[in-house]
Amino acid sequence: MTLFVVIAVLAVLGAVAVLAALEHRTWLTRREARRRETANRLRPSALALIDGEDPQVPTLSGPDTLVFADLLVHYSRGLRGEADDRISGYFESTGAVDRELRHLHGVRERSRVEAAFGLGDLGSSRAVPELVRALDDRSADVRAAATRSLGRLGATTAVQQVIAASVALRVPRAVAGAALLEIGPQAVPSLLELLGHEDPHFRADAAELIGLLGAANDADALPSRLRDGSPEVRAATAAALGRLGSGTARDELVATLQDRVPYVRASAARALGQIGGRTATAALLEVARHDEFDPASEAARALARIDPALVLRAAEEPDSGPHLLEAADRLRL
Amino acid sequence: MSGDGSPTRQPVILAADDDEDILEMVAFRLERSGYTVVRAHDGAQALQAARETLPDLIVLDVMMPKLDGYEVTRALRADEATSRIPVILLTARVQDADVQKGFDAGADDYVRKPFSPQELRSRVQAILGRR
Repeated sequence: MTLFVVIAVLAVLGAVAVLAALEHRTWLTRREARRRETANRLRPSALALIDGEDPQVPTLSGPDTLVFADLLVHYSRGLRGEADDRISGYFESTGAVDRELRHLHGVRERSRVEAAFGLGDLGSSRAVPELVRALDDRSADVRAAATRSLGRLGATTAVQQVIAASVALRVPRAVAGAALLEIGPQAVPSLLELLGHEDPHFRADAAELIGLLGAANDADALPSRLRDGSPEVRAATAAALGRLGSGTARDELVATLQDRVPYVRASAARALGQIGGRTATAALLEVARHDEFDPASEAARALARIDPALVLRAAEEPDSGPHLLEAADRLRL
Repeated sequence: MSGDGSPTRQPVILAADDDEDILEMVAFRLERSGYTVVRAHDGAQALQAARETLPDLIVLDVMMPKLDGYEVTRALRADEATSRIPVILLTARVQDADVQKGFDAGADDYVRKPFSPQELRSRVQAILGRR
């Protein structure tokens, strides 16, 4: 009898739980439908505000305000110039920027994370100094969100602080790298200055990012770093020169094939393959035949890019070694 | 109406981007500038729409599913019917090599993403004005 009662109670509770879940799902679906309907209604006004010609921003209240802001945030991610300025101007005029800045100093971690993240989307450069300060927040999530927002805001003045936060492991390296990439080529002047920083981690990160963001003429500052005291800096510099395709650095990279550290030699060989030009082939052939595994492998691959016929001939010789044989096999595929 | 009383035909622009927000902003700006805009959401759709509508100009995102902007441009240039339609690439890839790749494929101009709607309109007007 008791068992029957327990089973009956459990069945009733189960049914209630299922009904509650269904009700909740229906509520969520209705809420999303209302949000979509509101977004469709407000979209022309948001587009007109972004466009700037004859904008008629409606007087908004309650949920409409949030949906309108959400639309602008979405659009701002694809915009720059005056259109982006108009969005940040709107958020400043409505007090949204000041509100988020207050939340950034709040007690609750969740509020600070949301504010640090949201300030990047509101587009106001007024937030940059506060976001830089937030890189020292006690919460790792706040620091990461602030880093992301500094990238979104294109904060060229914060380049050094973002790299410092990455070097000190206060923000994940990937987050800092993504932010700096989002800042884009405007970050390059700051990165060029950091090539002279006393900390080799700064110099290595700067060299790597110059390779990703710079143009060919930015390579002029790099070759001297191939003689840096830190092997990390030398390897990052060689990689950057390869990405930038800097032919003027070819002789310096050939000299770097004699570096005492194997991964630096490997990086130089890879760069020479990316840059091309047959003046490096004799030195690369020597490395491919006689060096340690990584540099020899990279040198053979580089040679295959520069002069495939040379690799096929060299592989026939008795002292060719395994890396030239492998490179030749790949070429024959 | 044109000077002789016949209705003036609005130039038709094909805009292709898989990002719905970008596509809306591009279309909104161009429609406000007096163009008729045909929309496509991926490279294959863009190529098909270009062949069907023979627009006066095409604004193409580079990174699109199915066919990227470079591939669409090359296919347009290889087809006699579409080979002379001007193409503006809308691209987040602004390394010199990427820009060169766009011109090598046959693009007439490029606009960097994130983009400025006013800059896009100016580029469109400049190209259509030259024709």
